[in-house]
Amino acid sequence: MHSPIENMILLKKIKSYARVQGRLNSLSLLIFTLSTTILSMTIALFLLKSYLYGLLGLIPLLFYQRRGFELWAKELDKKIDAKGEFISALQLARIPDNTREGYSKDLINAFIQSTEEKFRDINVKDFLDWRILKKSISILLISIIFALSFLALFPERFWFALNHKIEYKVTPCDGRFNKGEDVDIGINLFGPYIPERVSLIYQFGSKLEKVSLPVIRCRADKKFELKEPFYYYFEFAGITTEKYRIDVVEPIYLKELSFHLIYPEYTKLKDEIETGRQLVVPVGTIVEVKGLVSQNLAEAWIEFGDTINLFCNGESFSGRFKINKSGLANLWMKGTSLHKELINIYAIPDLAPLVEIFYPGFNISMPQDMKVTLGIKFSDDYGINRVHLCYQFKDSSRVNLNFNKGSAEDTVFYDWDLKNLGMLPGDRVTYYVEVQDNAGQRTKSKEYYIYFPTMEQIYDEVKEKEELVQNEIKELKDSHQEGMDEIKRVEEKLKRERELSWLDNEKLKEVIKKEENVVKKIEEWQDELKKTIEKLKGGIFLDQKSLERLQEITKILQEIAPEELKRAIENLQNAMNKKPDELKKAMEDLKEAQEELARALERTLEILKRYQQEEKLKELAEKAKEIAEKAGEIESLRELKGMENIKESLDSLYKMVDSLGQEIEKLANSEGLEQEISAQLNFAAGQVKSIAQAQNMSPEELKKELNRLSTDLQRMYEELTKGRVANLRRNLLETLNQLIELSQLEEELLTPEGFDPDKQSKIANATKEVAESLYAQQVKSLYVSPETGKRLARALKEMEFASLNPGDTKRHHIQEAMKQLNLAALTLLEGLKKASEGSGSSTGMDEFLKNLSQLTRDQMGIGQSLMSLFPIPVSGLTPEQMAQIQRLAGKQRELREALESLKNSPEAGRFQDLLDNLGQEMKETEEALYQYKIDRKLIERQQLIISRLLDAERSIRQEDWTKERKSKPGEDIKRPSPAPLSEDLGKDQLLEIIQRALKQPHPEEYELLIREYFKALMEQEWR
Amino acid sequence: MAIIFLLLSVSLDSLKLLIENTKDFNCLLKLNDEYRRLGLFDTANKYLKNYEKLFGFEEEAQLNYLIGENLFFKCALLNAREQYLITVARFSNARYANESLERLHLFESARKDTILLKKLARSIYFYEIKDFKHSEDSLKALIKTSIGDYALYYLSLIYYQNKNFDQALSALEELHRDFPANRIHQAILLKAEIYFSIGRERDGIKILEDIIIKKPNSPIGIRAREILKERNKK
Repeated sequence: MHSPIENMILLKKIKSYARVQGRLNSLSLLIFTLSTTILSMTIALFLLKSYLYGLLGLIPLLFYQRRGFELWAKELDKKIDAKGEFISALQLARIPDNTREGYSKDLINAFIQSTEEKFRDINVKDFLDWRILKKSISILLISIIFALSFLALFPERFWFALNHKIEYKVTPCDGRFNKGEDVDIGINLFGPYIPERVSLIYQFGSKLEKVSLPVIRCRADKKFELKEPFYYYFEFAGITTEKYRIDVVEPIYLKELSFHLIYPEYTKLKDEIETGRQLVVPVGTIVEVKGLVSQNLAEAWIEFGDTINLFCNGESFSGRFKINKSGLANLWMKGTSLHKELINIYAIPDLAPLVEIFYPGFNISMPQDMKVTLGIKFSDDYGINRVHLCYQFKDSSRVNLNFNKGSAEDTVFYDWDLKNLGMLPGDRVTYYVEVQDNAGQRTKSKEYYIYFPTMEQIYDEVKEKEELVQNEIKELKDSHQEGMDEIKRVEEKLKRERELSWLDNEKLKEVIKKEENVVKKIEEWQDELKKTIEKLKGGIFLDQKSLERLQEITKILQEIAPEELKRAIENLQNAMNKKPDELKKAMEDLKEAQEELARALERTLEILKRYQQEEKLKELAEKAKEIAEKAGEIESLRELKGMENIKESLDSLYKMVDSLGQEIEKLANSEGLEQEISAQLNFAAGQVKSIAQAQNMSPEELKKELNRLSTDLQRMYEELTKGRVANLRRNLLETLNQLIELSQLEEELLTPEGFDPDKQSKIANATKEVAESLYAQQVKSLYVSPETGKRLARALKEMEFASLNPGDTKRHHIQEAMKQLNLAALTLLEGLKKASEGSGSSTGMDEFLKNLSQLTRDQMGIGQSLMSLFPIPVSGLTPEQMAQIQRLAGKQRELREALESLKNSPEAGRFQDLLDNLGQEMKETEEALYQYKIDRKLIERQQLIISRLLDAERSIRQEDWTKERKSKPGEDIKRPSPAPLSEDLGKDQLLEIIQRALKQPHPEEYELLIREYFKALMEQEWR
Repeated sequence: MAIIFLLLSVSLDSLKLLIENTKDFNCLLKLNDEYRRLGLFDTANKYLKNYEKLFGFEEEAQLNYLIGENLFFKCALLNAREQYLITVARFSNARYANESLERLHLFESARKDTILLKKLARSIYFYEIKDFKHSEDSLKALIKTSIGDYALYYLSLIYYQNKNFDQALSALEELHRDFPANRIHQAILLKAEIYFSIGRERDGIKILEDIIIKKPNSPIGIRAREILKERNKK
């Protein structure tokens, strides 16, 4: 008995398989269709087509076919490898009972049963085919990635493809243009996506043309030379613009154009007619413009800042305007068409005049004759109208200077007599020159001053110079030492290795550079000091002491004279690329020169130190005197106001005393000071300090003590300076004596008895000792020339040769040694002579001059006090003023008496007449003061006395300096190397260059370029 | 006196003639001595300058030195100094450069008072022409001055020349006492020499040994050593 077919397990299994597998297949198809839809949509978007193209992706659905039950059964049969049993069982089960084909029912049932039995346990799920589904999903994923890549890589294209939106602007749209004119037809595109090319379609008559234009910076365009009208439009990314039309019109053109130029008055230029399109005119020029065009004019105007309407008459137009600035002017002419003519306008500014005081060109001290020659140079681009010398001394004043009026440039020399200004030491007059050009522009020169120095300032300046040199020498010495060490190292290396490495060569170059700097620095000092000396000589006060000090320092520096070092450096430079032997020789020479310079620097420092000790001692004496005077003033105050009211002043006085004590102590302990002086100074310092600490002295007592101290310090100063000179002289004489004896001993070696090497050796030893003792003197004084030491060194060398050469040359070497010894003695004699002259006591003229200088200063002091009385009140002199005048009269009497005592000194011989006259003038002044006759005459007499005193002093000093003054005329005036230019000066210089350049012959058309060029430079400079 | 002058004049004429003919250097020196003795320094110098170029280097140096000497004795101090300087500069390896330097050293030592230097020059002149009497007198006048050291030294030389050793020693003692810082090294050697002359060998040697001990490497030390060496040889 077989079961009905519906109950067949086999059938159920097939159905189950068909249902599940069928669903799987349908799902796969759907997924695949989705993939193809995505892909087709992406491709459509990429190609900027409509996304509806994505529907193409649904095509796979059309290929869907539903499968029959038997097909599923066959598929399953195949999968489970039933070898047709499955199908057979199914078919047999479906055979109706009445249509038997010879099979028995039982056989069929048995077969079905056995088949069912056989496949009862199979699970159809195990035979489901998932591969199609998996493949579909893979394809879907790929299509999604593809779509996302497009979005990621070309987002603008993607979004544009979605909505197809680009903003654009076509230029010039419709338009009318002149025939032959170039018209630029273009389109500007705006949006996130811009196509790379657009198509321009244009149509001349019936001829249609299309060109593809590249889109560059959101614009695509094409130029057309207009001959006939045309239509045009653009196409891009599926968008078509509106259609536009370009029409052609006949153009208006300019037949004639002229400018009548009326130049401003300040230029003094005549009117001119200009026909070009470029106007180069001075600012303020009035332009009358006239023109003729090709058509009747409707209107014409000029745009140049403002709009200037022109008068039109038929084809002609005219108008007038003023040029105040540079720029591009547009001349518009309107007929049937509009025409624009460009006119370049360059308004040349009237440059401010230039003025320079080139002589003296820097601040100066009052010259001896109280006259200054000013060298003034001025210029302007069109002409100068006025030149004034403006100065400020008490009040502002100005002097008109004569010059070639109206000239564009001129140079004047003005002799300015400063005597009438009534200047006194410490005063200064500032001055500048002001020039005005034809246009009224004014320029002031740099301001300078003339200073009437006080003696203190002169001292300070000299001291400052000394200290500067001393400090710099210290630095230089260190730098030089480094160079020496390096040369020594390299030289040793060269000896060892016979050649130098690249690094050593570089080091050598570095040393050379360093040493060149040393040489340069020394030369700079020499120049600087020379200038200061000349300045001092040219100044109103000829302070001999300061001059001598500076000259001595200059001499020291001259002795440093790095000439040999310079030569050695040059030689080394030349030998750098030569054979090692030559290099070695050059290095040895350099080393020698370096050592010599090091010695010279050492010596200079030592000498300067000694100078400073001397000067410090002098300064302290003066300081003590000043404090004593202050104590005197406090004492006077005490008498007037009582002790309580001067407490503060007294405290400050004690502080000054204490500071003085410290300074004395410091000097006492300074290195190299003579023991005796040091002890005396220490003692003095102790006393001063105890005074300062106790603070129990009255001002009167303090004054006495300080005056005593000042005298003591002054005496110590004299002792120190004279003692040093005497000591030096003594030592030098002894050395000279020894040199003569050595020379005699050397000479004895020439005797026929024969040469004694032992004696020669002893002489050489003795010479060495003399040289050493000489060097000890040399570092202390300027008077011992290094030349002596060099001679002795040569003598020693000759002695050595004499010992080593027993032959014929021995005699020659002995004679050479003698010669060097004698010449050394000779240079020593020169030094001795200078030392004797330096002490300056032989003539006594120093003392006379010193007294005369003091008289001059005191007389100036009276003059200054006298000036302070002015203006005298209308009500007459006050009692205080009268008392002051009486004091001045007393002081004047003292001065007269001092002058008379000076007259009796033997040195005054030649100056008797001068001193007589001075005495007379002084007497008259004295009488006038006693009688309170304070008037103009008295002031003039006062100035006359000062002037004569100065003349006397100067004439005496000039005798001393004549020789030197002749040798260097006016060197201080010509300052060869001015200081770096200030910004202001740079601007002026630039202006000057412009003016000079414009005065050079050049084609007119270049003027503009020249001006523009310099203008740019100036603007750059001013920024 | 007139006869002496006449005799001298004859002698001078013959010398001049001789020089003119023979160009003999010694004759020229003799002529210079004669003129110098007569105090005719300018004439002497005129001849020295005339023949200056005729002789060798050493001779020319000597003539230049002698010109300086004549000027010195004439008390033309500045000119003399100039001449000595020229001699040293031009003939620096000649013997007379040393002599000139010695004079220059004297000039420097006595620079402060040129009157005294002139007096000293005169005294030395007398000494040089062997007029010891006058020299002694004028030197004695200078003993108490700032150039007393030189005066005493020359006095001792005069006494030594006259074999008046005690007085010579006494002058040297005075020099040592009154001018302890003097720079006349020769004076010490002269003292030793005098001791040797009067037989006080030990004193002489002591002086020299003292010098050698105190200043072994000085020129005077070398000189002292030499003298001792010479004496030891004897």
